[in-house]
Amino acid sequence: MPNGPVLRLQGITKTYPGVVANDGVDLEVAGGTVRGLLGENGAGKSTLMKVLFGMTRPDAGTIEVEGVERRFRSPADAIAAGIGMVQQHFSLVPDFTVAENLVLGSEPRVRRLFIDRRRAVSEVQALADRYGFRLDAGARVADLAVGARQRVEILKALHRGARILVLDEPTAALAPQEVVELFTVVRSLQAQGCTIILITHKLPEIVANCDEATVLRDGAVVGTRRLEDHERVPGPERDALEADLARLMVGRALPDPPARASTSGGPALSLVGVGDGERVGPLDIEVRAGEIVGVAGVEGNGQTELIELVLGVRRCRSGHIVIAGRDVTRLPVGQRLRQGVAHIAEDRHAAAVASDLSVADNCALGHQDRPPLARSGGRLSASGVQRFAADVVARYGVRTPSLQATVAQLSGGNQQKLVVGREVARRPAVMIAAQPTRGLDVGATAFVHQELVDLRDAGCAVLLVSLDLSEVLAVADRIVVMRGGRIVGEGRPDELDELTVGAWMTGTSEVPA
Amino acid sequence: MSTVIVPPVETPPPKGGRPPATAALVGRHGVRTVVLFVGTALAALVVAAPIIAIAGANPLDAYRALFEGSLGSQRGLAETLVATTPLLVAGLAVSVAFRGGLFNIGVEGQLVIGGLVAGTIGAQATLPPVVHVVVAMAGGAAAAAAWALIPALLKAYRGVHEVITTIMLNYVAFALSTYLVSPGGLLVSKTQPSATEKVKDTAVLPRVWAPTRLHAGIFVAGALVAVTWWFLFRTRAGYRLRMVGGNPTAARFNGIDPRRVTVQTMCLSGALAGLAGAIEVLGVHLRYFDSFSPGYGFDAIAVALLGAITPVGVAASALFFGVLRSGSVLLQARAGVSRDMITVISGLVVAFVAARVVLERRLSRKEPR
Repeated sequence: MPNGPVLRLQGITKTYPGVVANDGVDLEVAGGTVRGLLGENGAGKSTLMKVLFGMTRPDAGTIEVEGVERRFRSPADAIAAGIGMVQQHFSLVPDFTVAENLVLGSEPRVRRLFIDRRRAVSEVQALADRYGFRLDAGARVADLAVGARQRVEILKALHRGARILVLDEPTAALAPQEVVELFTVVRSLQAQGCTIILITHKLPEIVANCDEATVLRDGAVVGTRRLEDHERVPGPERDALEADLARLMVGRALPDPPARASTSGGPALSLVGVGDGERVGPLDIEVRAGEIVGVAGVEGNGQTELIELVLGVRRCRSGHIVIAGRDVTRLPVGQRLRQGVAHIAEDRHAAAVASDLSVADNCALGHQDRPPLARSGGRLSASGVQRFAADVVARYGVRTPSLQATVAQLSGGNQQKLVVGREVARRPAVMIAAQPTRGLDVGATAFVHQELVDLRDAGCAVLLVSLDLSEVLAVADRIVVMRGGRIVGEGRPDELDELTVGAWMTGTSEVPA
Repeated sequence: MSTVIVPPVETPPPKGGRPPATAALVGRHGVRTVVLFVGTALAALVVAAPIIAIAGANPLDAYRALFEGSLGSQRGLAETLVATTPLLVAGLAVSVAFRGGLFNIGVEGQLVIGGLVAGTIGAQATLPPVVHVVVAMAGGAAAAAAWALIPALLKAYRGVHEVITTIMLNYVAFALSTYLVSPGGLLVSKTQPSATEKVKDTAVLPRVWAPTRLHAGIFVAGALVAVTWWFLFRTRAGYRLRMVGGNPTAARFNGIDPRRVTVQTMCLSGALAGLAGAIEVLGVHLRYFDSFSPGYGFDAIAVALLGAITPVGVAASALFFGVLRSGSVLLQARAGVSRDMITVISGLVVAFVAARVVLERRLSRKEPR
């Protein structure tokens, strides 16, 4: 039902100390359309959505919903106005059923004291069926796959009366089949008159699914573009469109995708029958020098444990791990690192940086025991640390107020650049890159990919573990697929397509709904 | 070696070379730290004023008495420094533990153990001058470190929270030391009940400002400030300690064994606490008296918090608490306010420091992504 704008943001400005996050953003979204919101990290997407959802108040600007000007003091106000948001991280109670999660806070009662579970289930099931959601209202959320949990989140927003739905990076954690299903859901919502705002930095998703795309850069709208149906078909027109949008986002043309490896050397990392006796293995993986092996898989299928096994953080109960010709199965972390292992952690806050320590201190991590940072007698060279950190910061374009600033003051993308820079500076023989581009924008992602390729070309063995299948397909020279802690498929990217790999990732049977 | 395809955007390459030493000395944001320090101390004094009024005295008179008593005379000044010394060393003990991610509430117990062992070595051993006092202090430090080893091992290898174990070991330390100097106890003096024998002259920290009680311990404390700073910021062991305190998992993934560092940190903290007790016994009391410490180890927590756990900050805040402590005598005598009022003030300091943490978190949450 095309009609006037249901949502109009005018002159939204939000400044934080030192940074203008939103600079007079105007956004008009027509009812019943799907709007894509594109932008690099720090472009102001999140701030804009926080403003829209009442999580932060703008310094200037107005919000109109369905022609009525609104002032949101909290998300509750935004929900009351018919705005729903599905965040990247779900807020569901795992031990509750789908129905219980939905009615939480407004439960149907029996004699005011008891919850009418039967009515809750039937109400929710009716809602799910109305929108054509494949969901069992009586199922426990903990038993659902990620895609199904996301549908629960969407349904929760609808249940609260959302007519404008904001999806923040909805495909980040989904398997390919789940992505397909998500966009089926989006279209059926659209058909029923919902307006959808889709935030993502995956260009193909925008191009395939949105009616219009708005690009933000440096806190301002740099362009809004209608997408025509003929542009969605794969072909030169679509390529040109994607290149256009990418250029708008980054402000410059993107480099070509990196070339594949031509030759590879001897094995640099080999796992033979390796397992931890519970969640992963036994499995065999070999990575040769000058080769990138991509590990694909749905989250929680043993990838984290695999990395911990290779690094020596998790005890290896079976098999052997050989790094650069040396059996390291029984060696502690430090000695493995000295064998030439570097590690880009999948969760940098958990395993890579200390947020309250300075940029300089964090750059030095893992380098502190070698000259020029180390000095004789157990001393640490302050000037060495400073010079080294300055080098990492300059070489990798880490935007930081100073080397003494804490890492918490940096944006996520800059923190990641710091980690990548620090680890590449080890000149590793084996690089374990776990989700190295999670949360990074297009420019930074291309940068990290290029770093990995450069490492490979310099003869490093790279083990790339990623939940983003397109990343694995784009960068790896060889792909292995993990499911249930084991290797279930292997091949070269030019022999494989997303759907084959997707089927390996999720197993032969369908995803449980 | 690598081509940078995303060039650094508007980032002037930070200057290499030597970092400003002062920045590390007073924390990363020097001026801000000083302002916060003074602000917190003043806020505590201001809020304490109505409480003093309720207690029936004029707050202005009370504060005048407090500062005259602590800073207004040679004797007052000396007493201030005497009170500062154990607070400073014990404050360093707390702050080293904080840096390593540990909350050592057992400083008081470790201080008692350190004082007892130092007093015993001072009284029983026969050694040449200088050597004797050094050995006595080292013995006190070592004994307290061993005492701290128990919670350290429990924390590192069994995951028992150090707050629980250190608090409990405080009571063990109090009871054990009391028992040892009770009638018939192993270490009790023949002439003085509830104390060890007087330490020999060779083991005494000499007085340095006759006729006051100010002793050489203040110089030891000052040296410990410098050594602690150097250790934390200029050695690899100090770096590991700070990194484990900052993020033990990240440390572990980078080849640092957080368990070993945790044990080292707690023992180092214990050793400093033991030194605080040893200095107090060898410099002021000249023998170990049962419950000689009026709670230095607990005040040290407030000292460390107010000092933002940097060594120089700890020195400044120890001085502040030293002023309160030595001024409290005149506060009671002249203004008629109970000495316990300084406990109220130090409690307020802790409350304001805690509030400050919340405030800072609020401020930093506003920072953009």
